Amino acid sequence: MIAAMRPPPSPPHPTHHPDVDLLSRHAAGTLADGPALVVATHLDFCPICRHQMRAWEALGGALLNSQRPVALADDALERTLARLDGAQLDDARLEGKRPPADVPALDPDPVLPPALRRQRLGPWRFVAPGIRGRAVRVDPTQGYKVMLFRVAAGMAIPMHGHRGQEYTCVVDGAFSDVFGRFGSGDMAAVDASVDHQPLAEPDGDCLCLIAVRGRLRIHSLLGRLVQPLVGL
Amino acid sequence: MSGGGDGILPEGRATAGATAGTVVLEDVHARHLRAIAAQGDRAAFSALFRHYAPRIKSYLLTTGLPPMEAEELAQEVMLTVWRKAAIFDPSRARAATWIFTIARNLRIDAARRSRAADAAVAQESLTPAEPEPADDLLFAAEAADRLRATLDTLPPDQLAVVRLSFFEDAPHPDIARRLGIPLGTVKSRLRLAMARLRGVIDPGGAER
Ligand SMILES: [Zn+2]
Repeated sequence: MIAAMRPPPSPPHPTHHPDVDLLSRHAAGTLADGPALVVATHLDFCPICRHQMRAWEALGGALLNSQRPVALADDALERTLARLDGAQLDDARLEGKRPPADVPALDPDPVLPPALRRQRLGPWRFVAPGIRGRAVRVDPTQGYKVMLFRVAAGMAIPMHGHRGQEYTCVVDGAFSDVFGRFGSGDMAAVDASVDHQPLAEPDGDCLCLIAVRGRLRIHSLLGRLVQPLVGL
Repeated sequence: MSGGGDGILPEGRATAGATAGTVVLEDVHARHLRAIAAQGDRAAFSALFRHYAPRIKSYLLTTGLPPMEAEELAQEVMLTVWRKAAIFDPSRARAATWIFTIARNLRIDAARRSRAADAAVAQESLTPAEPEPADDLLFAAEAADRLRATLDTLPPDQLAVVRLSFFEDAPHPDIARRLGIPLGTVKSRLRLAMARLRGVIDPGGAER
């Protein structure tokens, strides 16, 4: 409405978003680690979904307040009060400047969004000609494998022919498939029944985060080459 | 503004009354948090504890935690509330929302620790990030008030289904079994309730 009040120009917002089910489950904390990390990566790029996410968290708060109270042990308050003295107070001024002790040091790669920089990332490794990958360590018992791929311009992204759910978020560059063009921050969640074939765009490398459930099917030479890295 | 969200909340006495009471309660909780941050006010902490700890324990039980662990973790959540009180910003989130996110994150961490084969996995932090200053934070706070009011108007049977579905991500057949109602009833109650809640959370959702 008033041009002078517009915020300064910012990078274009993502156009492919997680659906309402994924977002609400992320806010509720019920997503498995693999998809949660892909959604968190998208959120770093997407103010629209961050907005939605806060609202779903507010639903959590409202549900918490209307939760039927369950009595704690008689001495619970007393015991907790006794522990307050030893509890170190977090100072708002220090928050954000000092990484919490229980979080690994931030990955130095500046192209990575905060959600990814907080993760434990393996070293870059050769996957196939034109493709390198870094493993992202997530809880293996939940059945997801998470990889960060750097795919050279024009190459196919080695994740077609999968079985089970696949979640992808572009971190840098872009790819295209039958669903359209996916640039920075764009997210896709596809089901095993979809045999799409994403191609990195011809004008630059595509850096993308992929979480897959289950095994990659041996589908091509590329698929076989990816296998040892993904650890199947 | 499209104005599309205005017709979604029913205009009833019950809604107006519940909203007023809710806002007052939120103000009291926010004041307690400020008193903890400013002068380590134990009376304020005790008041928050009496309200939230039994609800947090109840929430943790809903997510499937055994009673002993729910008890311990509820105390842990309250301890974190004490430690982080200075970070609470009432313009970003309501007290209940903020405390819910702490409980949620500690629950995720605890579940991961109990599953972890090695200590390294347990150290990963995959908890959703804090809001950013550039975001429209007032929206979330206001949505919280409207959601509260909407929850107050939901029939108890719909609320029970929403609770299990959101907090626990329970499959519909599970919800049906636990509430002792037919599967079709679960689906229809959830559809009705979520349509109402979605209208509050994302009034422009249909246009996206
Ligand atoms: Zn989005």
